[in-house]
Amino acid sequence: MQHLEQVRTILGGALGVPTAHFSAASALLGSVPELDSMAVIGVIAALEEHFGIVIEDDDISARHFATLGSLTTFVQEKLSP
Amino acid sequence: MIMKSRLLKTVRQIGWYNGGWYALAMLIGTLSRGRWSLYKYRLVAQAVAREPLCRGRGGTIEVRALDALACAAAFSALQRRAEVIAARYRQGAQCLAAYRAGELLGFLWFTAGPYQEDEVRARFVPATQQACWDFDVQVFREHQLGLAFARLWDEANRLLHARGVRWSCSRISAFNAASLLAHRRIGARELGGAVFVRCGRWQWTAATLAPYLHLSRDPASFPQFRLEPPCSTSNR
Repeated sequence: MQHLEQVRTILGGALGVPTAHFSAASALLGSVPELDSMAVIGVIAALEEHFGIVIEDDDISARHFATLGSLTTFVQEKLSP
Repeated sequence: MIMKSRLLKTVRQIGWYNGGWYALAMLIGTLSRGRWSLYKYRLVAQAVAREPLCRGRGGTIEVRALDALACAAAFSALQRRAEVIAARYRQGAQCLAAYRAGELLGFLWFTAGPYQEDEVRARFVPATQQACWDFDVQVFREHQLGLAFARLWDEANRLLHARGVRWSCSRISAFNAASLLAHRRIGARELGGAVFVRCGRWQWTAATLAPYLHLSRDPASFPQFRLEPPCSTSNR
Protein backbone atom coordinates (compact mmCIF):
# COMPACT_ATOMS: atom_id res chain seq x y z
CA MET A 1 0.00 0.00 0.00
CA GLN A 2 1.48 3.30 -1.14
CA HIS A 3 2.30 5.82 1.60
CA LEU A 4 1.70 3.26 4.36
CA GLU A 5 5.20 3.66 5.74
CA GLN A 6 4.96 7.46 5.83
CA VAL A 7 1.53 7.45 7.47
CA ARG A 8 2.79 4.94 10.05
CA THR A 9 5.77 7.15 10.89
CA ILE A 10 3.64 10.31 11.10
CA LEU A 11 1.13 8.56 13.33
CA GLY A 12 3.84 7.33 15.67
CA GLY A 13 5.40 10.77 15.87
CA ALA A 14 2.11 12.55 16.51
CA LEU A 15 0.96 10.11 19.17
CA GLY A 16 4.36 9.49 20.72
CA VAL A 17 3.95 5.73 20.55
CA PRO A 18 5.98 3.05 18.73
CA THR A 19 4.19 2.08 15.52
CA ALA A 20 6.92 0.12 13.70
CA HIS A 21 4.99 -3.10 14.19
CA PHE A 22 1.71 -1.69 12.84
CA SER A 23 0.38 -3.26 9.64
CA ALA A 24 -2.41 -2.01 7.37
CA ALA A 25 -4.84 -4.14 9.38
CA SER A 26 -3.79 -2.73 12.76
CA ALA A 27 -6.80 -1.26 14.52
CA LEU A 28 -6.38 2.36 15.64
CA LEU A 29 -9.57 3.79 17.11
CA GLY A 30 -10.47 1.98 20.30
CA SER A 31 -7.20 0.02 20.27
CA VAL A 32 -4.63 2.79 20.57
CA PRO A 33 -5.59 4.63 23.79
CA GLU A 34 -3.42 7.61 22.83
CA LEU A 35 -5.66 8.28 19.81
CA ASP A 36 -8.26 10.59 21.33
CA SER A 37 -9.89 13.67 19.85
CA MET A 38 -7.02 15.96 20.87
CA ALA A 39 -4.49 13.60 19.35
CA VAL A 40 -6.48 13.39 16.13
CA ILE A 41 -6.04 17.14 15.64
CA GLY A 42 -2.28 16.64 15.85
CA VAL A 43 -2.32 13.68 13.46
CA ILE A 44 -4.42 15.61 10.92
CA ALA A 45 -2.10 18.63 11.11
CA ALA A 46 0.96 16.41 10.63
CA LEU A 47 -0.60 14.63 7.63
CA GLU A 48 -1.59 17.96 6.05
CA GLU A 49 1.90 19.33 6.49
CA HIS A 50 3.73 16.24 5.27
CA PHE A 51 1.56 15.49 2.23
CA GLY A 52 0.47 19.05 1.40
CA ILE A 53 -3.19 18.11 1.55
CA VAL A 54 -6.21 19.85 3.06
CA ILE A 55 -8.39 17.85 5.42
CA GLU A 56 -11.82 19.32 6.16
CA ASP A 57 -13.47 19.02 9.57
CA ASP A 58 -16.17 16.82 8.03
CA ASP A 59 -13.47 14.37 6.90
CA ILE A 60 -12.60 13.58 10.50
CA SER A 61 -14.57 10.40 10.97
CA ALA A 62 -14.18 7.14 12.83
CA ARG A 63 -14.25 5.33 9.47
CA HIS A 64 -10.95 6.89 8.37
CA PHE A 65 -9.28 6.23 11.72
CA ALA A 66 -10.43 2.61 12.02
CA THR A 67 -7.12 1.05 10.93
CA LEU A 68 -3.74 2.17 9.65
CA GLY A 69 -4.86 0.91 6.24
CA SER A 70 -8.05 2.99 6.22
CA LEU A 71 -6.11 6.08 7.26
CA THR A 72 -3.59 5.48 4.47
CA THR A 73 -6.38 4.97 1.94
CA PHE A 74 -7.91 8.26 3.07
CA VAL A 75 -4.59 10.05 2.52
CA GLN A 76 -4.22 8.44 -0.90
CA GLU A 77 -7.69 9.63 -1.88
CA LYS A 78 -6.77 13.14 -0.83
CA LEU A 79 -3.58 12.98 -2.90
CA SER A 80 -5.34 11.77 -6.02
CA PRO A 81 -8.92 13.06 -5.91
CA MET B 1 -16.90 -13.79 32.53
CA ILE B 2 -17.84 -10.33 31.25
CA MET B 3 -16.82 -8.83 34.61
CA LYS B 4 -13.44 -10.62 34.44
CA SER B 5 -12.68 -9.40 30.93
CA ARG B 6 -13.77 -5.85 31.88
CA LEU B 7 -11.50 -6.01 34.92
CA LEU B 8 -8.49 -7.26 32.92
CA LYS B 9 -8.97 -4.63 30.23
CA THR B 10 -9.13 -1.86 32.83
CA VAL B 11 -6.07 -3.20 34.69
CA ARG B 12 -4.10 -3.21 31.43
CA GLN B 13 -5.05 0.44 30.87
CA ILE B 14 -4.58 1.88 34.36
CA GLY B 15 -1.78 -0.32 35.70
CA TRP B 16 -1.61 -2.88 38.50
CA TYR B 17 -1.74 -0.44 41.42
CA ASN B 18 -4.93 1.34 40.41
CA GLY B 19 -6.14 -1.91 38.89
CA GLY B 20 -6.00 -3.44 42.38
CA TRP B 21 -8.14 -0.60 43.71
CA TYR B 22 -10.53 -1.06 40.81
CA ALA B 23 -10.85 -4.78 41.59
CA LEU B 24 -11.51 -3.89 45.23
CA ALA B 25 -14.18 -1.37 44.18
CA MET B 26 -15.89 -4.02 42.06
CA LEU B 27 -15.67 -6.56 44.88
CA ILE B 28 -17.13 -4.16 47.44
CA GLY B 29 -19.97 -3.23 45.11
CA THR B 30 -20.74 -6.86 44.29
CA LEU B 31 -20.56 -8.23 47.84
CA SER B 32 -22.70 -5.40 49.25
CA ARG B 33 -25.12 -5.60 46.31
CA GLY B 34 -24.47 -1.95 45.52
CA ARG B 35 -24.92 -0.63 49.06
CA TRP B 36 -21.20 0.05 49.50
CA SER B 37 -18.99 1.76 46.95
CA LEU B 38 -15.40 2.87 46.57
CA TYR B 39 -14.19 5.88 44.58
CA LYS B 40 -10.58 6.79 43.93
CA TYR B 41 -9.89 10.27 42.61
CA ARG B 42 -6.78 11.99 41.36
CA LEU B 43 -6.86 15.72 41.91
CA VAL B 44 -5.18 17.61 39.08
CA ALA B 45 -4.67 21.11 37.73
CA GLN B 46 -4.29 22.03 34.09
CA ALA B 47 -3.09 25.36 32.79
CA VAL B 48 -5.69 27.56 31.09
CA ALA B 49 -4.25 27.54 27.59
CA ARG B 50 -3.94 30.76 25.67
CA GLU B 51 -3.29 29.00 22.39
CA PRO B 52 -6.39 27.50 20.78
CA LEU B 53 -6.46 23.71 20.88
CA CYS B 54 -8.56 23.58 17.70
CA ARG B 55 -5.84 25.21 15.57
CA GLY B 56 -8.49 27.03 13.53
CA ARG B 57 -10.73 24.01 13.08
CA GLY B 58 -14.23 23.31 14.37
CA GLY B 59 -15.92 26.43 12.94
CA THR B 60 -19.17 24.51 12.41
CA ILE B 61 -19.41 23.76 16.13
CA GLU B 62 -21.13 26.42 18.20
CA VAL B 63 -20.36 26.64 21.90
CA ARG B 64 -23.05 28.27 24.06
CA ALA B 65 -23.16 29.18 27.72
CA LEU B 66 -26.40 27.72 29.04
CA ASP B 67 -28.51 29.35 31.71
CA ALA B 68 -30.37 27.19 34.21
CA LEU B 69 -33.49 26.99 32.07
CA ALA B 70 -31.68 26.10 28.85
CA CYS B 71 -29.56 23.63 30.76
CA ALA B 72 -32.59 21.89 32.24
CA ALA B 73 -34.05 21.55 28.75
CA ALA B 74 -30.79 20.31 27.22
CA PHE B 75 -30.17 17.83 30.01
CA SER B 76 -33.71 16.51 30.31
CA ALA B 77 -32.85 13.50 28.14
CA LEU B 78 -29.58 12.81 29.95
CA GLN B 79 -28.93 11.00 33.19
CA ARG B 80 -28.55 14.19 35.18
CA ARG B 81 -31.15 14.76 37.84
CA ALA B 82 -32.86 18.16 37.78
CA GLU B 83 -31.97 18.80 41.43
CA VAL B 84 -28.30 18.11 40.71
CA ILE B 85 -28.33 20.63 37.86
CA ALA B 86 -30.13 23.18 40.05
CA ALA B 87 -27.59 22.65 42.85
CA ARG B 88 -24.75 23.32 40.42
CA TYR B 89 -26.23 26.66 39.40
CA ARG B 90 -26.80 27.56 43.05
CA GLN B 91 -23.07 27.06 43.55
CA GLY B 92 -22.39 29.56 40.77
CA ALA B 93 -21.32 26.97 38.22
CA GLN B 94 -21.47 27.64 34.50
CA CYS B 95 -22.23 25.15 31.75
CA LEU B 96 -20.87 25.39 28.21
CA ALA B 97 -22.48 23.17 25.59
CA ALA B 98 -21.26 22.36 22.09
CA TYR B 99 -23.75 22.12 19.25
CA ARG B 100 -23.55 21.34 15.57
CA ALA B 101 -26.63 22.13 13.48
CA GLY B 102 -28.69 22.16 16.68
CA GLU B 103 -27.45 18.79 17.90
CA LEU B 104 -25.89 18.67 21.37
CA LEU B 105 -22.39 17.15 21.09
CA GLY B 106 -21.12 17.57 24.62
CA PHE B 107 -20.75 19.91 27.57
CA LEU B 108 -18.35 21.20 30.20
CA TRP B 109 -18.95 22.71 33.62
CA PHE B 110 -16.78 25.02 35.69
CA THR B 111 -17.06 27.18 38.77
CA ALA B 112 -14.84 29.83 40.30
CA GLY B 113 -15.77 29.05 43.86
CA PRO B 114 -15.93 25.99 46.07
CA TYR B 115 -17.52 22.96 44.44
CA GLN B 116 -19.70 20.55 46.36
CA GLU B 117 -19.13 17.18 44.72
CA ASP B 118 -22.30 15.27 43.83
CA GLU B 119 -20.81 11.77 43.56
CA VAL B 120 -19.30 11.64 47.05
CA ARG B 121 -19.50 13.92 50.10
CA ALA B 122 -16.64 16.35 49.54
CA ARG B 123 -16.00 19.99 48.81
CA PHE B 124 -13.20 21.15 46.55
CA VAL B 125 -11.96 24.68 47.01
CA PRO B 126 -9.65 26.39 44.51
CA ALA B 127 -7.08 28.11 46.73
CA THR B 128 -6.67 31.28 44.69
CA GLN B 129 -8.72 33.48 42.38
CA GLN B 130 -6.36 32.38 39.62
CA ALA B 131 -7.83 28.89 39.79
CA CYS B 132 -11.24 27.42 39.09
CA TRP B 133 -12.80 23.97 39.26
CA ASP B 134 -14.03 22.09 36.18
CA PHE B 135 -16.26 19.04 36.31
CA ASP B 136 -18.61 16.80 34.35
CA VAL B 137 -16.85 17.25 31.03
CA GLN B 138 -18.44 14.95 28.52
CA VAL B 139 -18.57 14.55 24.74
CA PHE B 140 -21.02 11.93 23.53
CA ARG B 141 -19.47 8.73 22.21
CA GLU B 142 -20.42 9.28 18.56
CA HIS B 143 -18.70 12.69 18.59
CA GLN B 144 -15.63 11.84 20.65
CA LEU B 145 -13.31 11.74 17.66
CA GLY B 146 -14.42 15.15 16.46
CA LEU B 147 -13.60 18.67 17.56
CA ALA B 148 -16.27 19.17 20.22
CA PHE B 149 -13.90 18.54 23.14
CA ALA B 150 -11.31 20.99 21.84
CA ARG B 151 -13.95 23.61 20.99
CA LEU B 152 -15.43 23.37 24.49
CA TRP B 153 -12.03 23.83 26.10
CA ASP B 154 -11.10 26.67 23.74
CA GLU B 155 -14.23 28.57 24.75
CA ALA B 156 -13.77 27.76 28.44
CA ASN B 157 -10.13 28.84 28.29
CA ARG B 158 -11.07 32.09 26.55
CA LEU B 159 -13.66 32.95 29.21
CA LEU B 160 -11.45 31.89 32.12
CA HIS B 161 -8.35 33.66 30.85
CA ALA B 162 -10.33 36.89 30.46
CA ARG B 163 -11.28 36.59 34.16
CA GLY B 164 -7.67 36.14 35.20
CA VAL B 165 -7.97 32.41 35.81
CA ARG B 166 -4.77 30.55 34.94
CA TRP B 167 -5.43 27.05 36.29
CA SER B 168 -8.39 24.75 36.20
CA CYS B 169 -8.51 22.05 38.86
CA SER B 170 -10.55 18.88 38.68
CA ARG B 171 -10.87 15.37 39.97
CA ILE B 172 -10.46 12.37 37.69
CA SER B 173 -11.45 8.84 38.54
CA ALA B 174 -8.27 6.78 38.87
CA PHE B 175 -10.23 4.07 37.04
CA ASN B 176 -10.94 6.16 33.93
CA ALA B 177 -8.01 5.44 31.59
CA ALA B 178 -9.24 7.70 28.79
CA SER B 179 -9.63 10.69 31.08
CA LEU B 180 -6.24 10.10 32.72
CA LEU B 181 -4.58 9.98 29.33
CA ALA B 182 -6.42 13.04 28.04
CA HIS B 183 -5.37 15.06 31.10
CA ARG B 184 -1.77 13.87 30.77
CA ARG B 185 -1.79 14.96 27.12
CA ILE B 186 -2.81 18.51 28.02
CA GLY B 187 -0.13 18.69 30.68
CA ALA B 188 -2.25 18.35 33.81
CA ARG B 189 -0.27 18.40 37.07
CA GLU B 190 -1.16 16.11 39.93
CA LEU B 191 -2.11 17.87 43.18
CA GLY B 192 -3.06 14.82 45.22
CA GLY B 193 -5.46 11.95 45.49
CA ALA B 194 -8.35 10.74 47.60
CA VAL B 195 -10.19 7.49 48.25
CA PHE B 196 -13.80 7.49 49.38
CA VAL B 197 -15.62 4.43 50.72
CA ARG B 198 -19.36 4.84 51.11
CA CYS B 199 -21.15 2.33 53.34
CA GLY B 200 -24.79 3.25 53.54
CA ARG B 201 -24.96 6.62 55.33
CA TRP B 202 -21.31 6.54 56.36
CA GLN B 203 -18.40 7.64 54.26
CA TRP B 204 -14.71 7.15 55.01
CA THR B 205 -12.17 9.34 53.26
CA ALA B 206 -8.39 8.96 53.03
CA ALA B 207 -6.48 11.58 51.06
CA THR B 208 -2.97 12.86 50.41
CA LEU B 209 -4.22 16.41 51.10
CA ALA B 210 -5.60 17.86 54.33
CA PRO B 211 -7.73 16.79 56.13
CA TYR B 212 -6.12 13.44 55.15
CA LEU B 213 -8.68 11.32 57.04
CA HIS B 214 -12.37 11.97 57.52
CA LEU B 215 -15.46 10.09 58.62
CA SER B 216 -18.83 11.41 57.56
CA ARG B 217 -21.95 10.02 59.19
CA ASP B 218 -24.45 12.33 57.45
CA PRO B 219 -24.64 14.60 54.37
CA ALA B 220 -23.88 17.72 56.40
CA SER B 221 -20.42 16.41 57.21
CA PHE B 222 -17.80 16.27 54.47
CA PRO B 223 -14.06 16.79 53.97
CA GLN B 224 -13.00 20.04 52.37
CA PHE B 225 -9.96 19.99 50.10
CA ARG B 226 -8.07 23.19 49.38
CA LEU B 227 -6.44 22.92 45.97
CA GLU B 228 -3.27 24.85 45.45
CA PRO B 229 -2.36 24.98 41.75
CA PRO B 230 1.33 25.14 40.81
CA CYS B 231 2.50 28.66 41.58
CA SER B 232 5.66 28.61 39.49
CA THR B 233 3.66 29.54 36.41
CA SER B 234 1.08 31.76 38.04
CA ASN B 235 2.02 34.62 35.76
CA ARG B 236 1.17 32.74 32.60
